[in-house]
Amino acid sequence: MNGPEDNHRGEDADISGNLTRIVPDDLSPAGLVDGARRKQRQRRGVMGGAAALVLVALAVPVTLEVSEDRPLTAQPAITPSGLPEEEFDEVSLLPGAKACYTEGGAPISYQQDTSGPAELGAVRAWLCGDYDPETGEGVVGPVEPLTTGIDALIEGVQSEPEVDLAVISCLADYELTFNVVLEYDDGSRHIIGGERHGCHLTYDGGVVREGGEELYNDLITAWERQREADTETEEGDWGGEDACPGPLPMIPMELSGTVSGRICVEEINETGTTHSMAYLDELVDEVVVSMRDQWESPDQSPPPPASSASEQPFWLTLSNRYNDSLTLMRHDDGVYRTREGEAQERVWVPPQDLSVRLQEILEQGDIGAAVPPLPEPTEN
Amino acid sequence: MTESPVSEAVGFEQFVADKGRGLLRAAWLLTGDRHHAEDLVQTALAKTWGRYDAMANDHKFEAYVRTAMYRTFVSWWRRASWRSEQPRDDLPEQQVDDRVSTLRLDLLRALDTLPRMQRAVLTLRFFDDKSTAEVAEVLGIPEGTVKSHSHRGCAALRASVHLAEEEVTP
Repeated sequence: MNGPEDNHRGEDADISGNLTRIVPDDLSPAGLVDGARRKQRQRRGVMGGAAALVLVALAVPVTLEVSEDRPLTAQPAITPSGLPEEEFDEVSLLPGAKACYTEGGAPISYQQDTSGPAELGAVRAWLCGDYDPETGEGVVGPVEPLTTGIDALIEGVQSEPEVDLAVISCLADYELTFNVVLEYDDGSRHIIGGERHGCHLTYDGGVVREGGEELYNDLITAWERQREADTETEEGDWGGEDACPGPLPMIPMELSGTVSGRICVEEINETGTTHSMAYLDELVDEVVVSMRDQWESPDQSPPPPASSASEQPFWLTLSNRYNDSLTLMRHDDGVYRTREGEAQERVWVPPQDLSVRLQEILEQGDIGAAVPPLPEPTEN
Repeated sequence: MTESPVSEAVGFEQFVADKGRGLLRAAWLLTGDRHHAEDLVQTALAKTWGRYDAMANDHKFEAYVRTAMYRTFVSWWRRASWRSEQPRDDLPEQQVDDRVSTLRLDLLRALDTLPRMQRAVLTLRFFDDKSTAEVAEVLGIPEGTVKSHSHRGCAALRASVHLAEEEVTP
């Protein structure tokens, strides 16, 4: 029930009445189920062989028959068990593939799987980085599953020599620990882990082998090839939160793949942290063009050395159709720089007019955080 | 609203037959035309389909779908199809009397100028008749932010040039 604080009708009854009045009366739910079914199939992407045939066979259109004595029964969820289903829960708001998290939102790990070496026949695989939801640090793997060439990856792992951890020393600075979640037709899953540091090992159901770097390279290559061949994925198809600043992706995002952008600010004060974000809308094209001109110019100078200008809590994040992110942080000198850990150091000096408009998007929006002052124009 | 317990006999298709029109109407206010409204509702249904059987009743599932729909709308601004929206004048909507038609055109134009979050808040509050707390839960934002969006959205409509000759708000 609405309380006094929600009693808006007395104040804005006209808005309510007019909104209701303008909505057409003839909107019909007919076709919604079929449309939802089509979208569900599209979202699940390319499936291999028999599994795809099963999906098609089950997708029989349902004729709505409203009968008092014979209610309709729903078709079973047309989903081979374990398909990545976008549920509306906290995990769906985490970056990367849902398969990389437990139901509670904690990152999965190869250490959770001691079932012995992976079997061939996995129908899809997800690549998971070391992103930590608690800290927001780490890299995020691709959101979509790999659906081809998985057996070759497994065979590659298992062709490497086994290692006895008791007799080797693999001390080294941390680089990256990653995980590959394999899924089979029956819905079961197996996790293979890998390390890009130390002895570069893989962990396969308790079996430790060499070849961590090789596995990593093979995985990245496999995903890049799949994406090159992917003509169906559109932005938003894989859901996920529009994080800003966006997390670091395992597969570097190319500027040419940009489909959206957002800017955000963060304010930390005695009451806590306030984070506000605004979408670039039409400005994203202008931003991309400006960046491309600066980054691809044959006269492009090497990136300037690390600046003494302070970082501002002001980020610009571009994303592609898979929601991979390219994030730059604004500094007090007005220059945007990629964060440490980005695949390639980038510097962007926006034209003053564009810089002002980016500032205005946040300042004129309904945000809670204070927007850092717009830096004075710098000499380029 | 009477809650209806889910049984094996009450299926997803029946849910859509019963509740789909209500969702479509809200989606129409969010998007401004029936094509995009259908697209939005279909997307929300595709996202939530698998949870139908796990939900205790249709009322809860409807709330779940509605949440998905609104959050999808707020985060969905960048779809290419949305950038090529038809001019309002060309929309082949049902024939209504001239006064409603004019109001529809003007109010949609005014709504189009609102940021998506404001539009979502106004639709939830003044069309779906949700409380501030309910709006906050649907959109995943603080109640104070809901009030702020609502206040600014109403103010924007009052000041809209598209509604200068309409008695939309007091």
